Amino acid sequence: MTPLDRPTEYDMSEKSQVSSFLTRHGPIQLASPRQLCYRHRTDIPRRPVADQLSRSAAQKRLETLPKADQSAISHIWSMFSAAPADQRKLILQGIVSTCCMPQLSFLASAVEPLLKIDFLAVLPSEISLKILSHLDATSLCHAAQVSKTWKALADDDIVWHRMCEQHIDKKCTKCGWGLPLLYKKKAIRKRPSEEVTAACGAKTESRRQIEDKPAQEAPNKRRRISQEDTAEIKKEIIADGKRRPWKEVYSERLVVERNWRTNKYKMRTLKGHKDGVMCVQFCENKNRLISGSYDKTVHVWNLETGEVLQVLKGHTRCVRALQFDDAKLVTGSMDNTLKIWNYHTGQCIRTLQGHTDGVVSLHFDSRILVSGSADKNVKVWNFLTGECFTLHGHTDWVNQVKIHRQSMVVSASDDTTIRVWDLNTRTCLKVLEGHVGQVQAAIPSMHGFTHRFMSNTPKVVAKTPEEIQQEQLHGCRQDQQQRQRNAGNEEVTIIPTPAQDTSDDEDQSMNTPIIISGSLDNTLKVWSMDSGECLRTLFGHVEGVWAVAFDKRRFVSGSSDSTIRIWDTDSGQALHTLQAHQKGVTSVSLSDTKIVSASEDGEIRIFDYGLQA
Amino acid sequence: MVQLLSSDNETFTVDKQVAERSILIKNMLEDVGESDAPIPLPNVTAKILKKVIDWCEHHRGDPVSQQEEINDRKRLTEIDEWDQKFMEVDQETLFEIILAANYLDIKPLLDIGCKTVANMIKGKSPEEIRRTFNIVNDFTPEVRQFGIISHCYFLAMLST
Repeated sequence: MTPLDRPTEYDMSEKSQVSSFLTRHGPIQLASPRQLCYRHRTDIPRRPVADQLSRSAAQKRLETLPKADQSAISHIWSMFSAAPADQRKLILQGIVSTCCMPQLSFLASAVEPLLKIDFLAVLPSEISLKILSHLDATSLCHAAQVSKTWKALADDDIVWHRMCEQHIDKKCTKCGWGLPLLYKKKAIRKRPSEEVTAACGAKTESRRQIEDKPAQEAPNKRRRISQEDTAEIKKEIIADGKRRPWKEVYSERLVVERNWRTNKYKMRTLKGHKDGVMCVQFCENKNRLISGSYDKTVHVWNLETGEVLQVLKGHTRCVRALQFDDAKLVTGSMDNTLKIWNYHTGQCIRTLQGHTDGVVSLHFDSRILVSGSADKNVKVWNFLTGECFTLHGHTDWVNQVKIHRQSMVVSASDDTTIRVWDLNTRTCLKVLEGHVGQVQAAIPSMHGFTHRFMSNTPKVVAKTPEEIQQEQLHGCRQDQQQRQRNAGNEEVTIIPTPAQDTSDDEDQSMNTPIIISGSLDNTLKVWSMDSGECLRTLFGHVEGVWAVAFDKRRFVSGSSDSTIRIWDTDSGQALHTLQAHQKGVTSVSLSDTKIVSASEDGEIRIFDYGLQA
Repeated sequence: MVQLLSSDNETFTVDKQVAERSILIKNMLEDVGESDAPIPLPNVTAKILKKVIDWCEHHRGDPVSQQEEINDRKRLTEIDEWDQKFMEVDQETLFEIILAANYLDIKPLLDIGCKTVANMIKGKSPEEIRRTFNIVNDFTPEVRQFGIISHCYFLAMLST
């Protein structure tokens, strides 16, 4: 007979045993409040316990029993609650061993929910936030609906700040999503005059940094940029007096990104040019759009209203290339000259002469201006010294030039090659061959750009300078793709970098620099800048590709098939096709919220994916 | 070898290298120097301490210096298989392991604990989350309604 099966009559000696047990253990239990277990903490709102287990329900049922039974049962209870932990276990062991199946089932079902812990409510909040920082946005939103405590934690700024950091202006390594920065537009709307120009300046500066900063700063740069950028967003948030919650910041950007993915945009058309438009660039925080045309003029537009602010006349032939920053505009024309303008006043400040044929492309940074011409040469002009030198090598028109990290130039030519030049040694570092048509565009990736374009061949075969020389002497052109050739200077040996960085198993995305090119062979190609290898060819356009633009989230291309295509940077698939122009698309420009395209039909179109009022 | 004393007075003898996965213990050892006296850990029970030591034993070879960086990169990726098995415990044990990892300052273990809880939340509806952790919905009906509307809007944006 176990003690529990005893008759319910108690004599004095048993009573004294009970009370001595209670006096022995009771005070100890009470004296250590620190040991209040999760179940008995009073600060956590608890789901009402199932009827059968609630204390009051048990009490009520007890009262229906005969007096003697009542006191016996309450003794068992009080003795149990007075017992120290190890003895409680022992008591339970005894009880469980006498339980029949129905009682065990009762126990099991009653205990199951009680063994659950509201982690977020009881853990120190910094740990709770750590837990939440592992969640995606959807789960966070669900978490915010669980309870008041959860809502406070799941809507916490720290968590959403982390979400923003992970996604804004970069691709999340986990989910592959990236969100736009978007702060510029806000700045112009909310803050008038001088603060705006300050913000403009800061932005251009940081853009420039991102694109052109020399390689040596690369390792730490990634983190720094994200801090700079979030700092910018912070500025914006604080700008309207009260801080905006990061969740709101995130959701706003999410709307824009969703517009991009679902191809939801508002289109506007700018009409004014009398002939085909050949080049276009816009800046949202300056609210300007500038275009150059076959009609020899350059138009300066108000981006938002579409109003023509200036018509710059001076070039005597088609304007083929342009770029502007805060202060100046540089244009290149088929009249063999480059002109520098004050586009605010419409005044031409300087005319640069040197090319012996039309200027087809140009790109400048703070120090230098690079131009590509129909005379097959690339010229590099120094803004400060006025000095100019020429890079010889291309055997046909140079259709695009881009400065890369201040020390290199990437050029695309009608001779079907792309060349990478070193500005310090003034030599050609690489010749990228693979396109079978004239290359119209080639743009190196900006800093912080990540991608998943893997090298197919593990190693690039190096060519000795002798071989290269031989090749050059015989002028032999192999059709073989992914070939490197040293053309400018025989003394420079190509040291191919085996694609080591690509063997990064954990994180599939890489930040090795790439070049994206578009050609009249109807394709876009992605090249490794380090190895010169063609990593991917994008098919889709049915006629030649005239223009390419990209940011960290998407590629955009314009073609003479009159469409604009938007490409996924990861899969290389065409996501959307914009068919709006009547004739070939000659130029595309891209921002966080907009694509602007220029066409031979004389029109400029603005595709706005931003927040619609 | 280092001796560790749990809150319920059980002594564990472990390699110094293993014990030093805990920054708390590492710092203690540095402050106190070599000593035969067991290190008291009043916030950790024997049951949990044993679990934690198991974990430290298994991860004794992990590079310590790069921990931070690795965590950063792996932040949102999956838990490795051994750790996943290790964390297949009841909620109370998981709770205690998280607290112990926090107290003993073992960042990677704390991280795995947090990820495990995060995985219990991920992909569940609010009601499912409440059921998982036995939580009372303490929103007033109005707030509840408003909350649902605003969250639906947000979720609709997320779902495409």
